[in-house]
Amino acid sequence: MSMTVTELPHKEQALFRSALLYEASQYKKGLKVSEQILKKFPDHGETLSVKGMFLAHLERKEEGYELMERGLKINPQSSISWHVYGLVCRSDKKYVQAIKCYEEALKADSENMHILREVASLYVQMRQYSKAVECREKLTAMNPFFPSFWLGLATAHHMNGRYDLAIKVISAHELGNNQPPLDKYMISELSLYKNWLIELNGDYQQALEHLKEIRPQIVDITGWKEKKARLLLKADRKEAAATAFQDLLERNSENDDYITGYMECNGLDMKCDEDQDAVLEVIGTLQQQFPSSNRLRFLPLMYSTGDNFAVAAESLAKYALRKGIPSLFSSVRVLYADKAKGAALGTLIESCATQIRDTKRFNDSTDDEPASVLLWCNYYLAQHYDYYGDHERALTLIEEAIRSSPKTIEPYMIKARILKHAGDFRGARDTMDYARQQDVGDRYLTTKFIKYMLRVDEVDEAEKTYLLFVNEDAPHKIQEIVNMQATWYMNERGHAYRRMGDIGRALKHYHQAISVFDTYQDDQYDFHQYSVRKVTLRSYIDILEWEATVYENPAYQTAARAAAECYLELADRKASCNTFVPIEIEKDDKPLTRNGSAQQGQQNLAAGVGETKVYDVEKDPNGTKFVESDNLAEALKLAEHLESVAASNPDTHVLAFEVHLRMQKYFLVLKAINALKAIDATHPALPSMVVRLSQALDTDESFAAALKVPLRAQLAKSFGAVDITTGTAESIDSVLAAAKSMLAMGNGDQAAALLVQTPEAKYAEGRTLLKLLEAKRLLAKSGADESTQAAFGATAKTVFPLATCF
Amino acid sequence: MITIRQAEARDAVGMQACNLTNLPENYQLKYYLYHLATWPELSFVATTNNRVVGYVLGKMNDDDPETPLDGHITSLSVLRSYRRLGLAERLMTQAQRAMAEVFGAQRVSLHVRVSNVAAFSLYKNTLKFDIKDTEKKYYGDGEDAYAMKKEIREMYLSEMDSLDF
Repeated sequence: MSMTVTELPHKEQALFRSALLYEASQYKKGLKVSEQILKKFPDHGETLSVKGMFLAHLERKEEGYELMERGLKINPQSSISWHVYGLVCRSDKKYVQAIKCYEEALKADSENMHILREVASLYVQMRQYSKAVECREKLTAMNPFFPSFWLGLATAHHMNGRYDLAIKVISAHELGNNQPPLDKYMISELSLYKNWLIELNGDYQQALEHLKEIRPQIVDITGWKEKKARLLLKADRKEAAATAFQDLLERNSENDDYITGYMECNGLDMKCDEDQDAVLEVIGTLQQQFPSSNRLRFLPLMYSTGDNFAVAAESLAKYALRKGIPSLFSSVRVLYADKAKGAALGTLIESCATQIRDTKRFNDSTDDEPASVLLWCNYYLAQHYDYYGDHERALTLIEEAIRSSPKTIEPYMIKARILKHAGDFRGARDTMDYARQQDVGDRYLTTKFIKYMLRVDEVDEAEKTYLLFVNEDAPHKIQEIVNMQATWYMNERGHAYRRMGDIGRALKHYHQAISVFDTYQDDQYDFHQYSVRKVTLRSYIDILEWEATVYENPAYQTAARAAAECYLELADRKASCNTFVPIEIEKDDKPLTRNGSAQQGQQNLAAGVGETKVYDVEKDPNGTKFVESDNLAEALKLAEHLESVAASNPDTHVLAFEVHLRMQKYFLVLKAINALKAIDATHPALPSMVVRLSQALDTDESFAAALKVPLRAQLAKSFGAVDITTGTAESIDSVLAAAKSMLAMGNGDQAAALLVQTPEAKYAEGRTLLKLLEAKRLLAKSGADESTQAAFGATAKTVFPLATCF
Repeated sequence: MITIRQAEARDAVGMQACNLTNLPENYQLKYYLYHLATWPELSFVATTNNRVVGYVLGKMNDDDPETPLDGHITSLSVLRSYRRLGLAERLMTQAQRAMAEVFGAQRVSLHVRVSNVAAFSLYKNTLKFDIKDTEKKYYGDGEDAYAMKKEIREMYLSEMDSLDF
């Protein structure tokens, strides 16, 4: 019936209202109450909707949605029915749909505070800030003394780019009779937030005046001081700013922003060569003031050259070697981009080592150095030679380090890394295993070991080892690994399965990683209300701004690209009548996976329904649902998402090209090619992409001839005559790109002929282990015969003699 | 080259990664964001090339109504490859000061595994924490924890900033 709530008899009205209170979390009670009402009024639309909402929250989603839709059909103008539908969509993260529902609910009840608040959060989530502003203006007008309303309005104005309006709102309400009143911390936070708005609005002088005004009510003193220093610098009051930055350095002499700010105040640009002497002088002065600062100790090496550099490096080196700091090489590694500096550092440490070996002390010391200094010299030098690809020398040095101090664990870790770089992945794994056994309680060592196990495809052993550190209380340990969002592990497992040819499981793991990032983006939702309530507004805006970049994370891009490539491989195999079949694996039901000693089929009473709860990780063990999906559509989804979030990454467009080409969307193919060219006109994949598009246009009879004309014209204009072998004479990247394309076009022999040349010296520094491994993989794919592949392997081994992977 | 600064939202994923690598007590990302949204001044990171190599996740004690002004260290960790730089001490010092200044903390408390000699030494000898008591089976794997505390109120005198600028 289309009777609204207010038209129900009194008793039922009361019951209905109490059912809505139960919405807070008592879904079972709410279900009972709504069923009571329905007994008497079985077709009451609004009660059906509410019942549907409770069902949806009690894991009876399908039923729930059905009922809510029924309720809406009966009473399509009901605000309550639309509201609960919106609630459920929102909790299912269907934000776009939720917004539509809320907007319908508002049509019938435009002044409903709950609806306005909730839809405002949704608008913010979806970055529709002007709509959020509208809702929050209404709310603030309804209750100007409820801080969450006007604070929410201010932040919406901020994100909408209207700092001036945000400031106005705060000024109008901050001194009002707010209920609940703002406490000391909140006032401090609000003041600093307002100051930030004034700064963003461009008025540094006003911001400085305001900063003085608010000081008595500030508790975040460091934050206040940071603003003072920054604003003074922006207002070009360098002297005062310098004092302010010094003040900050007293609190934290490791902060790079403070140091750089201080330099700027002295009119120095640290990156400018001309300023070098002045910069070093200032760093020296700061070092005297703050002798314990690590950063100030390292900084001179960044900004000096020649003799200055040698002096600074010697001072740092001796300090670090005496202290036994394992990260010395990692910290200076960035300097190796400057060949002279890299060489100078090597020479310096060699000299240190010689001095210690010969005389047990440095030339200018009056006492013997501890024996460990030689250990750390060798430790450094091993990494130095490893960097330059001289793995044999690196190994000799690290083994000397190990011999001199077999109980120190760090050298084993470096040895493992050297072996990895040299292509002996099993040796790396074994070395890391030894290392972690010296300190089984150290998760860092075990984590590295797990990674090295996955690199040799020991997926089951890796999992068993990972479980050693999973929370004992977790009801399902494998599910717990996923719940704890270890994306590095998910991706590495994915890569291992992919190498082993188990595309289904590879996809399963890549999708686990992708879901984690979806969760990361969803996480911000609660903060739209929480942070505003807490008045931690600077932090809130920071969260919003970061959340907009969540998918730029390399782990996401890796997972998304790899998954898309897997889908393309599945599609290609289907097209060539070599369809991939999900792989069954015999597995015992591990007692480790469930808490205690649950046997297969044992009831898990926590599920409450008397059935064994099936955890997500247990469903679809071999990734069948991914394999049997519409492969190209899935690849397209991922490629499009990457195009929107990672457009500056060339790999995005290389992938997009592959997807759009298979889907015969030639305009999008050209778009990808142009996007790649805009980033890097010399990208090695470009020639073969142009050739393949041309070839597709030549052979695809289903594509309208008239449309081919502008495409061909554009290609000719942008690229001229292109050969697929362009660049392959000198660049190994070009060879790999060309070979991939040749294989795609069915020219295995042509690909093989190119690939066998890759271990040759003419490919110079591009001839890395990983690239030769890729060449090997492509060579196998090309159908080259055994002896050709063996010859390739043998030649590769002359370049990487310690490698076991060829 | 390492820099130490207050943690921001963009550091949360890195803090989580550092935590997963080093410690058996792990948290979902949202828990890190919750700390940053509630006590933004109490968490710090040590980063190099935008990679988090060490962090401290701080909060004010909201579990126990008896001691609302206690600061608490939820989690502290430095990658093994970046040890011996005093990063843990520096991170703790920053957090401690903020607890006193921003939230008026009288004390800071934390838990440490009884077997974790290195961490215990940092807290006891370097940072001058005392053992308050031993909490049996505090950790998920059943290990006991030392509950440690340090008085900090008098360490940080009220700062008078010159407003003459």
